[in-house]
Amino acid sequence: MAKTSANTLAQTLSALMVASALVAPAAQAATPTASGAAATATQAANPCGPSNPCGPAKKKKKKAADGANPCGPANPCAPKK
Amino acid sequence: MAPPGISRLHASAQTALAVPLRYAQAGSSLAHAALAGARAFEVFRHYPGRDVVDAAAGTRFYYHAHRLDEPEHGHFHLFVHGEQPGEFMHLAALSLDVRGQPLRWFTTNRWVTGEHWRPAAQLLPRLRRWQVQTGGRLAPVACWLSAMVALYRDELAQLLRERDALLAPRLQGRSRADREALFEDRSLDVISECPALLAPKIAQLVP
Repeated sequence: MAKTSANTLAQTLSALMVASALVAPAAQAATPTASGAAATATQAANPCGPSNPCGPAKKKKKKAADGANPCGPANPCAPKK
Repeated sequence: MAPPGISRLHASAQTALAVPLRYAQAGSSLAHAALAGARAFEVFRHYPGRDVVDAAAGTRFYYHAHRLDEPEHGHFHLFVHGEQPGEFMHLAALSLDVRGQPLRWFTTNRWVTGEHWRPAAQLLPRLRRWQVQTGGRLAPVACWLSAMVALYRDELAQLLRERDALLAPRLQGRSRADREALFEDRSLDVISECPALLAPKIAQLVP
């Protein structure tokens, strides 16, 4: 069984090497558009820029329910309880 | 009959080969697939934009690139979630070449991902069961990454230990400020690395 498994691995590896050689190389990453490029360039030097270039994506904060419930406690103009 | 450990390793190896083979047979590659259908590939942007998160497994990954230099096309960052909400630890990164073939594994300094630093001993149990599942177009990529982590489990454990060993002399007996300075040292990004080429790895499994 182990021999069969090893043979399968060897065959799949050979097939992969052949098939992947025929695939077009993927395009390299590009610098973003003009404004984005400027932002990226300043990231490294700007102490207020995103300091963790490889950190996971931040969750988007939900907007306060503007207008959805004007009398609810989420309303910024509601009196303090 | 092969021992269960060997069978599992062979199964992971088979997945690690079969997924990119299917992409290649369709004229594509993991380097294309990792972009999750995005039209443009921009430096530092995450693919997918909100990362792939497996809440049940407490794992996460995304793909991106820094520089426009070959042979690397980009790399995946693999994370585990901590016990507190928003807490995460970086397990390792895996780079691909322009044909989607894996190049190298590497660990990073704390500032690179802003992770909650944990010693290797605390990460190893998470490494042993690291897997990520998702639906949609990135499902095969997630499956492949899970298989790669299982296949390279010993090497990744060694990388994390090396990471700690390399930092240890610079942390021991230092003040808190000095330790923080080391974790935030912009001149130190990659701490330990090892090859992730599939052919030599498979050769170890095929007598």
